[in-house]
Order: sequence, then C-alpha cells, then structure tokens
Amino acid sequence: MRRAPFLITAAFSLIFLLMLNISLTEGDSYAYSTELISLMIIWIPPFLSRRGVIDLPWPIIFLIAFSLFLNALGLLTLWYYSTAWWDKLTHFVSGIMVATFVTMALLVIMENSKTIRIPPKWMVFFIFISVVAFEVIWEMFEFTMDSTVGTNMQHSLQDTANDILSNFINGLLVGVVMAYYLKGHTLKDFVKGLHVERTVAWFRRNLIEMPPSESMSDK
Amino acid sequence: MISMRGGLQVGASYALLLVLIIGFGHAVVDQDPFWGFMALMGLFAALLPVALSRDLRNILPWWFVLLIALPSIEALLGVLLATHYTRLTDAAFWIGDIASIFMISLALMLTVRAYSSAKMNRPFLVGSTFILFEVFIGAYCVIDYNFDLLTGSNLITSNADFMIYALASSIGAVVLTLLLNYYLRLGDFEEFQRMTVGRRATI
Repeated sequence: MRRAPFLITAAFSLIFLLMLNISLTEGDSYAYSTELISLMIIWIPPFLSRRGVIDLPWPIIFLIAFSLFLNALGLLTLWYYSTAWWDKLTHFVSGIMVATFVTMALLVIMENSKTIRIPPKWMVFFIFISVVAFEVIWEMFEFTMDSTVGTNMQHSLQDTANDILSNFINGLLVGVVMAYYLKGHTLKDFVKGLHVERTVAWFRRNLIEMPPSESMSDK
Repeated sequence: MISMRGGLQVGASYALLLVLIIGFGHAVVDQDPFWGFMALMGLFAALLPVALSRDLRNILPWWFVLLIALPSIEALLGVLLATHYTRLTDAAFWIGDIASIFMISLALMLTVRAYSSAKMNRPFLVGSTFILFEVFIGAYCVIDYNFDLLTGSNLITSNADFMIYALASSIGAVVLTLLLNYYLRLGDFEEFQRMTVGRRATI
C-alpha cells in the first residue's frame, strides 16, 4: 500500500477511536454509531486499492476522512446544534468531496468511452448539476432516515433550504476550479494514476457492452 | 420548404408558447415564483434550438411544448373553471409538474448534445436529464423558501411539505427516466434528437 494514504487512514483511525471512546463513555448512541461507521468508511479506499479497484490520490482520501471527521466532531461537541455555521461547513467540505468524485468519474468515463466527451467549459455545468442533485438526494435520504429510523439529521426547512443553497454556490465554485485545473492537465495521466483498469473492464463486461443491435442506439 | 403539416405543427408550438407566457404572467400575479421561473425556463428551452440554429422551424415539437406547459395549462384551467383543490386535481397537478420539469430538463440536455462540442451517449444523456430534474427540485425549495422569507407568504408550509413533494417527484422522475431510456433504446436516438431540437449530434 502507498505510504501517504496509509498514514492518513491510520491517523484518522486513531482520532475516530478516541472520539468513539468519549461517545461511548457519554452514552451518545447517535455519535458513537456515526464514529463507528466513519471508521469503517475511511478503510474503504485502502481496501479498494488492495483489491485493484481504484487507487485514490491522497488528497481525496484526506478529504473523505476530513469531512467524516467534521461530521463526527459536530455530533460529539454538539456544534451542529449550538453553532449555526457548523452545518454549512460540513456541507461545504462534503460538497467539494462530491464534486471531486463527480469529476473523477467523468474523467474515467471520458477516457474510456468513445461516445462521451465533455470539454472543460462544460465540466463546470456537469459538476454543478451533479453536486446540487446529490445534495437534494442527500436531503431526501436524511428526511427518510428521520422519518423511519428516528435520527435527527434534518433540523428545519431553513436548514434544508440553506444546505441546498450552499451547494448551489460550492458546486459552481468547485466546477470552475476543476474546469480550470483540467485545462492545464492531460486526462490520460490523471486517469492512469487511479489504476482503474480492472474496474473499467468489469463495467465494460457487465454493464456497458450490449448486443450489436442495441449498441447502434447507444451512439 | 415547410409542408402544411410541418407548418401547422410549428404553429402549434408557437401557440403553446403563448400559454407559457400567460402561465408566467399568472405565476407573477399569483405570487408563485418557482412556477414563474419554470415558465421562463420552458420558454428558454423551447426557443434555445431556434436561437442556436437561427431557424424558426427548430422550435420544440408541439407535444413537447404541451408537456412543458402542463402546469401553466392547469393553472389557467383552474382560473377559468374556478375549481378548488381536491385530491384528484392535486394528483393531476403533481403529474403535470413532474412531466413539465422532466421535459424541460430533457430539452436542455438534448440541446447541449446537439449544439455544443459535448458528446453524450444515450445512458449519459438520460442520466443527466434525471440529475438536472433534481437540480430544479432543489431550486424549488431555495426559491420558494426565500420568497416566503422576503414576503411573509407561506408557499412551503413545512420541511415535511417540501420533502414529501421532492420524494414523490423524484420517484416519478425515476419512472420517467426508465421509460425514456427504454423508448430511446428501442428507437433511433439520433432521429429523436433531430425531431425534437432540430439537429443531429455533431459527432
């Protein structure tokens, strides 16, 4: 395993274990279950890397761990309830993470598809709509969880509207930054570094390749 | 040369634009900012291929504009017939709402595909249409919530009110997305694009 991703994962694992210990002592079930899930999630990238699915760059691994940390910290310290901007901060960071994933997915698709090509100026639009759509779907997930499991993820209409609005803004910001970054970098090098060959081959084999009659309308 | 049938169909599309304009006016008078915004988006989506191709015949087909204009038609019918909201009209309004938002999203994505340097295959276009639909649902919350804040109106009564609408609409959009994907898979995708936004893809 590469050194930087491992160090990041190990460091955040220690932090989550420490937070888990505090939450267990305080008996806050929502906080400790979140920390436990976060602890499991941060080990997914190393697991995927080991299985040859994808090698995420270390800044993205850091971003995943950091956004999970901010979420867990907000629950542990109750800053979600006492600090008005905490929720905005976590949504902003996770918005950047979603935008990064969307960009990566688009790049991998473009590099491996002859029928999809998104020029950098249109990347702004596609990243923007993907970030906002993900936020809306996330809000629906929160509402469903609150209604069925009884969690307290969504606080009010004001909270929902502000979260969506903040993602409108950071979707646009990240879209512009990503498009600017892509102008100066080649697709091939970036995608090559992800080592997604096996994953792309799997998608091709199971999802994309179709009988000749259907592939005509796929163009 | 435009055939009589083609000319009539183009005329029908322009006539339906009038409905969208009246729908926009109604939304302004009725203080309904989201549907005013969507009526403008509908007009924009219908006329964008005309502007990009500089050909008046390249307006969206009449049936396409009709679906986009459904909320405006329903609102105008409501005024004309002085009907009150019932469970039945609520359901009809909701179907009209999602059909309209979905068709605006589809028209915009088809136009991007036809008139820009972006290349998209069928699954990508269909997926992007669904994504754009969700963006409009998000815009509904942001626009109406802020309008309520500014004017003291009560367009969205509660968080649950918006979330249930969003959930139900998204389920409807998933159904429409699957149907669209199936329809385009069976037929000639390029021909569908030419028939709707007036141009085959540049690829």
